[in-house]
Amino acid sequence: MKIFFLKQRLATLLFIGCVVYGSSCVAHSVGSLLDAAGTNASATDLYQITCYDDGGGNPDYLFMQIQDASTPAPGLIMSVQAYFDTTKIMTNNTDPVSGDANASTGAQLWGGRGIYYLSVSKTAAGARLYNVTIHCWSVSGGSHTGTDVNTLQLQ
Amino acid sequence: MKNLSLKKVLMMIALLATLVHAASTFAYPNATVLMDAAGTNANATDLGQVNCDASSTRLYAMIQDQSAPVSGLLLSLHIFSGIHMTTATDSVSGDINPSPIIWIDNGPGPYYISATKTAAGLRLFTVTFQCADSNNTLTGTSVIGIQGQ
Repeated sequence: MKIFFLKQRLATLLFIGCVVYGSSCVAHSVGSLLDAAGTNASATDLYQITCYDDGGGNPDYLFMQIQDASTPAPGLIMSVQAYFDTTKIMTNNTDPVSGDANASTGAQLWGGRGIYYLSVSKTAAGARLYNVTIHCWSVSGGSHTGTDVNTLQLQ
Repeated sequence: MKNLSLKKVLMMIALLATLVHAASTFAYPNATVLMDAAGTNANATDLGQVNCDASSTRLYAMIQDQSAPVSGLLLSLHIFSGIHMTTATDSVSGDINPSPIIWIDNGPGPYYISATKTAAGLRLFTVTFQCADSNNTLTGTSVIGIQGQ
């Protein structure tokens, strides 16, 4: 019942996001309920992001920002990581306050065109509802550019 | 005579305890790293590649934050390989206990291990890692540092 309720909240959150941000929410954000049973401190979600030139310009970096939509719990903090395999670089970004209206500060990983791996983790056991905004960005084009998302692992 | 025997037994226990502690501390490959030395980079991430011998089934790893506790500042370790990833966090900084042990099964790898934290602040930590086969017999383990921040 609790899981059902949380999934309803996630659906509502994503719906509101779609209304606010229009079609970009479909392709440029990912969200899920991580560790639905609330017992897996190691739970990690994993996505593959492909940055490519869709006419917006050659990609320079992947932008990411995470928002933990769950109520605060002591010692339970959510983070998002991005890894670019071609040049083997990685960065991390944390939402320091759960459940408020603010997402984490944005972070960028400057890998250029290619495949990025984006993961979502937390610091303790407990169900967490999250939303991650992602954009492949072209500096030369001055705009958002091609961004495809493939889900690899949901825990 | 009885007192002497008790002393011998106590000395033996102390010796065994020392050996066990030494083994648990030094037997496995590990790396001690200072992260975010300036204390200003909340996004700081360290990254390494672990290669396991051909007979390997999995990589085990854990992290121990040796710095004094700071509210909201926790260290995590990630292992990822292929299309799988897992995470462990040292929930209490500065004590003698590391995070829980995590593992990924992906044969000889390669495996990537990364350390991240939840806020800006200098952290001194040790990551311990070990490859093993399907019977959990230890196998050859080597590491290459890729990114230190």
